[in-house]
Amino acid sequence: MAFRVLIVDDSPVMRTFIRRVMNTSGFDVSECFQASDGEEALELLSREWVDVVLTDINMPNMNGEELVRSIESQKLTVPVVVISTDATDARVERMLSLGAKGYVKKPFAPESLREELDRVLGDAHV
Amino acid sequence: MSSLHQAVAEATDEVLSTMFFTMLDAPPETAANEPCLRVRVNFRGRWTGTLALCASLGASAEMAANFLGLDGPDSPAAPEQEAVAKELANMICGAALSRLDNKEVFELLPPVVCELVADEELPLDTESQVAEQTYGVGAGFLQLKLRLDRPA
Amino acid sequence: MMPHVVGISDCAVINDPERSLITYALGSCIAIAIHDRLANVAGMLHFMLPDSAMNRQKAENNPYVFADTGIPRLFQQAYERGADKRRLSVYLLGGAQVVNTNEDFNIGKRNHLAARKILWKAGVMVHGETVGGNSARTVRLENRSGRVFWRSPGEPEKEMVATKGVK
Repeated sequence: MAFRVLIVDDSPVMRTFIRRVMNTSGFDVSECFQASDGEEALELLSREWVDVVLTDINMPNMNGEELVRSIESQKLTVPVVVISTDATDARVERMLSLGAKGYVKKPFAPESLREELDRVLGDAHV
Repeated sequence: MSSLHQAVAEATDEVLSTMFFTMLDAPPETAANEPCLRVRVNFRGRWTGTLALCASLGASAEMAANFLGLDGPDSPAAPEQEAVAKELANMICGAALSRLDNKEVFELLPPVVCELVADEELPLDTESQVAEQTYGVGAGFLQLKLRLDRPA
Repeated sequence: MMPHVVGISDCAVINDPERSLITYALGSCIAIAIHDRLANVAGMLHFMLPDSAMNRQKAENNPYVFADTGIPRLFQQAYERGADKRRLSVYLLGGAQVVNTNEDFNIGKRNHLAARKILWKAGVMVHGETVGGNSARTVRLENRSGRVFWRSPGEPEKEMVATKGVK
């Protein structure tokens, strides 16, 4: 099964890193969309189907928390994995309670992101 | 070593090892005189403060190439090196603050590249804490200064 | 069948599904174990040092001493025997800081980071690792199953698990 991924982060080099992880992960990634903030991400989600959203939290215009709220309120049913430097208990609990399905703390080893995606997406990619 | 120093040291080691595949060494003797790339990250939450990062140009190029997975003789372009340095500062700051307090939310403001000339230091109030570390990275160096302006 | 022994600063790639690869006395060195189940290719490199710039002559005499000269050769030999990069499972083991050595250089960690950097730049994912600590390790890779086992002196054998290695 081919995966379509949306990477949301205001750092272009972090988007590059994550894209590289996706391309070496063993997942069959057919599309790797990118957005630099929550607004761009929602605009893209309004016209493209993706299988998973990978998002930072601290971003201009619309941050990751607001993005997750919007995805939930619009019932977009796409799983969201948060990738953030902030892994305090309070933040993780908040993001998961808002509807995020996974959380990866920066810094992360490439295989850690792959493992979290395995867990969130289940057997869908086999 | 104070808890602040330890937090900075452990955070730097974790970030450099995990996503930059880089070992931290003792600082070179000539560190003070080399031109470098400077980045500043301000934060707020339980504490307000700043993390200042200064990386020699050689160290910046090496760390950027490692992070981006570039394999070849050419260094990454200057904008890429700056972007990587900003992300490095962002992650070290976040990792250090998480070590100091894992319970409360903090907010990192977007990292900014500073002028190459030394910035004026903000006056310290009596409750500020500062931790400063310098490391050798490859043939260059990496210097970090974390400042907390409100006590725990 | 007796396993094929990979020595220190040595490398081997096999196609025989009935055989295993094994390496002993993995202290600060790193063993990279790779496996392609579909092609029945198993490979193992046991290297000692991170960077051939430390000693070019030694690297010419034996490229398997160093990470930067040994790792590409390991993968190239695997590809020549039919392995596919995207099918390869890759595990890293070793990189211990062995107590009796007289160095602060932490060569074990340097070796580990060198391997990770080379694999990252080559676009190869690490599926699991068990590194660090203070004990030497013995590592065994079964070609038929692709399972990787390791042990330290006085301890029972453990199996590598993808992504989360047992330390």
